[in-house]
Amino acid sequence: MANFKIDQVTFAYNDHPILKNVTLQLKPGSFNLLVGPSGSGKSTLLKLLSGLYPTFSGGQLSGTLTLDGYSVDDIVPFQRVTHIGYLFQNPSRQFVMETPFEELQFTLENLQIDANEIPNRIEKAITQVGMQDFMFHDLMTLSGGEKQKIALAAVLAADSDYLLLDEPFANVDLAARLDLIQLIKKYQLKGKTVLIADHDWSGYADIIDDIFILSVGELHQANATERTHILSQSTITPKVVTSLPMQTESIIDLSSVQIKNGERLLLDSATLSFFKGKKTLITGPNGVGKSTLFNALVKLYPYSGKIFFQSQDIAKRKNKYHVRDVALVFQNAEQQFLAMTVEEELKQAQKTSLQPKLWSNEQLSSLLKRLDLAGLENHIVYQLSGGQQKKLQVLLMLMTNSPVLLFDEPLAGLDSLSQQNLLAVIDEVTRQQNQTIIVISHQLHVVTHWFDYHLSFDHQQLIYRGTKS
Amino acid sequence: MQTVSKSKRTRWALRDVLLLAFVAVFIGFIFWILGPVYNILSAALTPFGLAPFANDMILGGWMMAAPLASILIRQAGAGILGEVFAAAVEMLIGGQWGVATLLSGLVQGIGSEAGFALLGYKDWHWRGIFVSAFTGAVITFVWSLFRDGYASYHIGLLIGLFLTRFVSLLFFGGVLVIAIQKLIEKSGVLKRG
Amino acid sequence: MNPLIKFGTIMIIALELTFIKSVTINLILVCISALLYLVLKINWRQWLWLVLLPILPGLGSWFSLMYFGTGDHVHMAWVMLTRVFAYLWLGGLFTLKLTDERTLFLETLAQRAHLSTTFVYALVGVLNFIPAVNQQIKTIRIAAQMRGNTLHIWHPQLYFKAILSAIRWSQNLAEGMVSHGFTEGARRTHLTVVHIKKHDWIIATIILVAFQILLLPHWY
Repeated sequence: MANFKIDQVTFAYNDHPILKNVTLQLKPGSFNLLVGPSGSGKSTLLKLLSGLYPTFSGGQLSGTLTLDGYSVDDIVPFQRVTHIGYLFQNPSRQFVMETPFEELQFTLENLQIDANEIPNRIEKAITQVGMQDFMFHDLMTLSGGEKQKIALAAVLAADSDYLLLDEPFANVDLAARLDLIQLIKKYQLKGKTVLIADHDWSGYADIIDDIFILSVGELHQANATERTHILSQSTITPKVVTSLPMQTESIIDLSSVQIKNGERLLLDSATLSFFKGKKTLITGPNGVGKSTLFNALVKLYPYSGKIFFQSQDIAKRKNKYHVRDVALVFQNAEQQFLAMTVEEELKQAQKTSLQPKLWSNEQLSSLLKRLDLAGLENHIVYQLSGGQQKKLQVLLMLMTNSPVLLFDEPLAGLDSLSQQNLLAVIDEVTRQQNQTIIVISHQLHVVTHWFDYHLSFDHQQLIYRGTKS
Repeated sequence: MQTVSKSKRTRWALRDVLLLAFVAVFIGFIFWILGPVYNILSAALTPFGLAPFANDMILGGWMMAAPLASILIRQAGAGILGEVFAAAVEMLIGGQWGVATLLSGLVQGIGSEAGFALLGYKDWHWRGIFVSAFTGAVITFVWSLFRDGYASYHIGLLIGLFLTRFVSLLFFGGVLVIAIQKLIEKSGVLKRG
Repeated sequence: MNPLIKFGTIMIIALELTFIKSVTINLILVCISALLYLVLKINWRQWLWLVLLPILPGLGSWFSLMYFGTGDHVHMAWVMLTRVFAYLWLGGLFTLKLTDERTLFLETLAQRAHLSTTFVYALVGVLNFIPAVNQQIKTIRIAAQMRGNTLHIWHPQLYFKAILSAIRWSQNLAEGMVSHGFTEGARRTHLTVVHIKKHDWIIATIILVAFQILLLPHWY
């Protein structure tokens, strides 16, 4: 195994430090967990270790980050990859080829493996991750978990000594997550060193060696107390308190709706209603199709069966009018911006609101203060932090006053204070305007008593949960 | 171990080439969506013998990939490459004109690129963009004289067609590209190493 | 026949066609293509496509030249009408078979034409993103409509959002390629080595020479 040296690494963008004097010693052949709040620099650290940064990011790197004495980012990729393998959070945008076989072929050809050896290596790696039946399937139609297995197979095929993983389970369902953790463990036991960043700490207790904590750019190894604390984190999901819907006044109705991704069935013949003026939570495993359902509701994804908004078939409604009635707060905030500065965005939203009177400058400045966005008016929206972008996006979408608002993971990546403030604002504004809101969220601990109804999405079914009221 | 800094440098960085390719595909798709509108317009003009106007009206849009590639990458050859990419993708996904698309793409790329070249590849802002729109109109028009039989048109119609094409390029390849460039620069989303 | 050789041959003939003002030559090319299509056994949908597609642009030129042409414009009107057919039928020989031959075509470009692998794999990668690009443009427009703005093709914001996606995606794909060992300008091995057969070259040469001879007489 090559000597991987990470000593006093400091990294900054335009003099704004992201990592400060990071020293990391990975024991050869160990399994390590990297934890830290979102925005603490975990991704940046992993991409620096993998040599992708600073080549692809710019910025100033100092300290020692070497493999056998060579600067990691300077080693030619086809050699580096045999030492350091990397798994991205979202593999969808990272595959070059159409099928798993071709992707691994591409990898092995890059590594200049002899042509005679390539087919065997591919087969072996794909079999190891249990994906042999998908060898020639279209990568785009695989589930999140299946994609990560293929990404892992590419690392197995390259036989890298170190494996770095950045939140690899973000789009992976529970069963696949456990599978993958086992596969990674098996790889480590062959003498490889693993470093994985994850915000969900369940399932690691018996298999990890060291835990590293990154906070505001500074890294330290977890001491015994911290370690126990992290590993004992309750894995039981908090119970959401809701009642079963009793009312009859619905606003969106699904009638035998079926949604597919390629050949895979996501939702099987669902017939149910969303109720007017209520707050409904949708939960379900990663990759089950929750976001796809939202996309279908705003006519961005094909479905069969019928969806009605206030008894009108949405297929017959013009997009332009439909999405003013049923609007989606996208997971990716950047997607929703239309102007350049925060102030321009707010002006635009005031102007196009369905109820502009509600959005006086006074009201706005009070909300901005509550969301900790005051004073940012002249900032460029694309340069705000992830959390600021999310809060601004939610505010802008509230300002549209659409009768139905769909929120896709509005709390992800926010610290807990911001989560509370944002929820309070959403609650207040939507109540005032009698809006119907439907939310996909994994952050259940903050919303246990916030919702009226709760839909669970699993095994292609949508079912209301709760107590009879 | 082999290092990048000691290897032979390639002129075209992977990231730039991918950016060119993506921009080409996005622009291609935006105008591809317009296909039906274009066909209706062109059909409506056909009985009056004015169908070529439909083509010249929209040409600036088809050609946007070239000036956008130039201002994003700021390198000689980017415009040609951007437009050829757009044509290659159209051909490879089975676009109606196939091989002919690639020829036109090449001519359009050269047309747009010529503007930036005339200014010595030093001006990537409004001056360069406008000169590129102008050379784009002239060079593609010469090509049309042969390929689309424009050489046999009445001088009046020729002037009309040229003006239409020129205005189309001035708008899509000029005014619009300048506005887009302003947005990109203001947003700071393009880090230049 | 190797698709790159086929492509090259067709490209040369198409280029020459641009400067040849002959109805006969155009029709001969259409007839030869039709014979080849019979051999290639294309389906009725593809036949329909070949027949219908050139009609609109063909007639567009025909009417214009009839009304507004000068000199031998009547002749030229027929040349243009038939040329549009010739272009498409000729090009179709390459494009209609492309779904099966795309990989081979790109492999030939990389291995035999020695086109930089950066270009070849950029093209491959982007082609696999086409459905996503289509979806993204829809999303951009609908996201704006949710906020009461319709982005039309004359709005710079539409292109800005598209370019923003292009910037993000090209960055992701570049990182993905490099994390799978792709190295600019480096040697690669090839699972399947592409050879161009000698008789492909011979056939291409014969076709091109025969075409030049065909051009010698003065055709209508």
